[in-house]
Amino acid sequence: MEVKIVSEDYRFKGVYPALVTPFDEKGVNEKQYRNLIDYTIKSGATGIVPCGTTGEFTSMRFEEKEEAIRIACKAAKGRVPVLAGTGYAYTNDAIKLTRRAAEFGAAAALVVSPYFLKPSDKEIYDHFEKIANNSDIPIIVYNIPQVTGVPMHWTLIDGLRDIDGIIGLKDSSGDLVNLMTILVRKPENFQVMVGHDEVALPALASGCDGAILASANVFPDRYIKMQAALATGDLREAYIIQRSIQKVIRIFVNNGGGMAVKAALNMIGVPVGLARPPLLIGDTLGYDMHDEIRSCLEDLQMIPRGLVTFKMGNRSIESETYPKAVGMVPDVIPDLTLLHGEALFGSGNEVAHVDLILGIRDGPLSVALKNAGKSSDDTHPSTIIKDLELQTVFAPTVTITSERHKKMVYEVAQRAVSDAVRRTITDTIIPDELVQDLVIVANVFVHPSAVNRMRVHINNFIAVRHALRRAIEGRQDVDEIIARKDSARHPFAYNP
Amino acid sequence: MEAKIREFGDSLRTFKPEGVMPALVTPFTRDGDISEEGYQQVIDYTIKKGVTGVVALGTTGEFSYLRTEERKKLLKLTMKYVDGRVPIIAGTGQNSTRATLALTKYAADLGCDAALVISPYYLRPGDKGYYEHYDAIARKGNLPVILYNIPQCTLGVLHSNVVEDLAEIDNIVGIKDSSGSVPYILELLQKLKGKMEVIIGADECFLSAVVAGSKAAIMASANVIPHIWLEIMKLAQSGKIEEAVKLQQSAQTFARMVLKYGAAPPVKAALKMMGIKAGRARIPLNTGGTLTPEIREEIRIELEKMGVIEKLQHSAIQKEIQILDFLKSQGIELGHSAGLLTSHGANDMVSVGVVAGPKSGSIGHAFVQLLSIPKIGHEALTVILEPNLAVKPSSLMIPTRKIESMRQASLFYGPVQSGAAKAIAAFLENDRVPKKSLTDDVVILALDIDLNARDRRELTNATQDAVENALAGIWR
Repeated sequence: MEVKIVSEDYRFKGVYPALVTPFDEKGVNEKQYRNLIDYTIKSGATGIVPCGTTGEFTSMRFEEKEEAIRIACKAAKGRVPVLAGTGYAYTNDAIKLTRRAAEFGAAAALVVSPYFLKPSDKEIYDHFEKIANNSDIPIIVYNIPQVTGVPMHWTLIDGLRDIDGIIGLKDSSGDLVNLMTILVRKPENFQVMVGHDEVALPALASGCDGAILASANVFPDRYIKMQAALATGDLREAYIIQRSIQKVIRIFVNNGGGMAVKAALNMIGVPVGLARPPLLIGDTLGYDMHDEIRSCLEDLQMIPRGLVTFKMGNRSIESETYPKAVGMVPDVIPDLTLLHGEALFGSGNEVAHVDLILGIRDGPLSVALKNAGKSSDDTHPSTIIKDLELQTVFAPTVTITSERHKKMVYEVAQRAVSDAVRRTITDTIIPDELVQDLVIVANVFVHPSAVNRMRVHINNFIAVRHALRRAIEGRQDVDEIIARKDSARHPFAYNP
Repeated sequence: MEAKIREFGDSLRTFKPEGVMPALVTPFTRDGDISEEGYQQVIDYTIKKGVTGVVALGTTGEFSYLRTEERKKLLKLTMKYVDGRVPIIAGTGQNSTRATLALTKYAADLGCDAALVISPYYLRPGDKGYYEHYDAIARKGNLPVILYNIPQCTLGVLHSNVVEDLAEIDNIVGIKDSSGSVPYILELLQKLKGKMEVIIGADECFLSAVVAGSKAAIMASANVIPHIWLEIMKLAQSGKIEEAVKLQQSAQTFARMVLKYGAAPPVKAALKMMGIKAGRARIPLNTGGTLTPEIREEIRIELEKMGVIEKLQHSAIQKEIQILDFLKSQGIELGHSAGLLTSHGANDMVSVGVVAGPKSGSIGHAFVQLLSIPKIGHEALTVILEPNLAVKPSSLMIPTRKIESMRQASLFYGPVQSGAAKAIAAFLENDRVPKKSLTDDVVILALDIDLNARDRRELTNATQDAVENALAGIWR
């Protein structure tokens, strides 16, 4: 076997984002890509990874991957190292792209295990050995069985570790049992990076050298701080950081990956465009989770605030600090006569489905106030929620079947509505000046078989928040309705 | 296939699984006691319908919720009620070999014809352990043994090579496979070469297995429709495949629902609809979580289709729905305010009346009233393509016919809602909705549907058609 010299001094430090790839009609959108790279480096990224899983590498032609790696190397030059994603199912293509990455100046290559046609351990071993033997830059093996279909067992890593030129592993499996074994068995100079955002803390605390993460596109600084806390033994502080982002990263990881990260970046004002088809918003990243990503980013104070003007006849009321996720919020809400929004959140018996209307109290909404609380035999009783500044009519649209169901509706779900309305006011989405002039009707459905009070509350709280925002912001828009007319999935429209 | 003959002491016994056998449900009272009367009714019904044997204490018989003493009692009851009319296969599998052996011997002493022995679960052995377990039962249990593979529940698989080895043991006469894996069944049929019977236990794959050479079935749905399965088997075995396929397809939805929703609860629900006192399932399975009220009603529809219960006839749909009159009947008066447009449309399955107009006018008030004071059985809902994707202009839909059942609700808020949304989206797509209407107007649809409709896809299409016809009268 030919002996070759590989730069062995590459040490992975800190946290690299697995960069999303902004596209335009021609290919990689260089302007947006450079802007994203600048954003992540300014936010603390200690390196970058072009053409990872989050970068949709499987949806890119060879030339596009070359282009992305070339841009990344140029943009990062002199600032941070580039770890280029060069994996291919076919060994010779992986070799080719790895060589190109080396020419562009990548410090190392991240090579995913072959996928789709599942090779045996022997073939995986041969694949990596050939790539390492033909590369001038060190190779980091990439385990992500959720998409490759081939889990890399620690025994296989034992063997791969031994190959000249293979200097590390990125493990995105989330399988801490396997990862722990790898960590306790590895020699000092074999570098292991965690690639699963949800277990970053335990993985880093257990001895991973760093992290390569989808969510590090959005907030690399949080992971840098987490690592710093761990370095000083401050587990509590590290835990607080992980906790602060756990929900949004859970959504990223489980709802579209790169597509979800792109949605988040767009919202905070780092434009990166859409994922390439067939990935689309409303599908693996559902509308529910899309809106929930925004809520999380608002909580993290990452959404820019700005001016939204509410018009009411000849009055004009301004919210100066409306959280204006880029691309989701109009500057003017032209007419407060009657706004209408719908939202479903959650699943199973605890699902929340809300139809919501909002409007000025002397318009059509006056009807709701006039009739609330009046009981009659043929209607579901509605009530005006007490002690709520913004008058809100709670109108359940389900026949009460038991004492438990009654409590679930009139205690749990009603409290969720009230909490959501309050929250929308404190979030300065509805300007203080308007609070007295508006009325909300929340028409909610709670399944008679719901038993989990906590989930009923959470789901209704979220659904009401989403419905309110959709009513105000006019989503989904007409283009979306037309585009999804034939592919929409109505859950009850199908035969059993 | 050569019949197997085995010797127990001085007596000679054989058992050859064949035909269609129900995995009998065990009827329980509300308190969880065994309902003897119900059990007798189920046995009598299935034997009357031609079953070639019965299986007591299978998975559908909720054996895992019964203590050994109760299982013994149930076996005695089975003997009593069957009274020699058909062979009895006793489910005698337990977690430990020792307990399994004891219960198998007990069944043998009672006079059962064979033992169905589930592969040990929870603490699972490996291949060697499975072999020794079955070997011990076959040698010392005094009954012909049927292996039982149901990995969905046991989480362990009886690999084909273990089954091959076990088939060499004289007293093992078959394997019941409920995995639903057609490749696995085919592998067994090929490798066992007729040494023992491969019994299909996955209702959905019944015909596939029979065509591939399986001559026996033990199934949950055979409590309800054994005659249909027997007919399919007869057709398939006499080469009338097309007819067999047609018949299997007529039972496919029911078979699918039985397996998907926990076997015992849907089977018991079906039997009760037929007037057989099949009782309830034991807790925790009987609280409507596994078998929801919506699914229960779908089961009724399937039973109607298969001709085991009578069809409920629903009255014809209301033609030419005058939306303003309908709203009036709901206590909502729409004055003749400016810009109010009405229309209607209908076909054989769906009829709709529509009104659109400026939300600042009386229709805006109606819109608010419908959502804020929902009428029982006439609840209005937003028109959505799917949850979180509502159409524009803001639109509500209401059933003209009072909603009386969960199924009716799931039709109205399922295919009908979907079809109505598609109709509005089609108008948007073809630019037939005035720009001003998108923001300034609201729409209210009142719909009636033919509840005799059985196919949701047809209902979606019929709704889209009727709503498009109606919309053509207001948006040209």
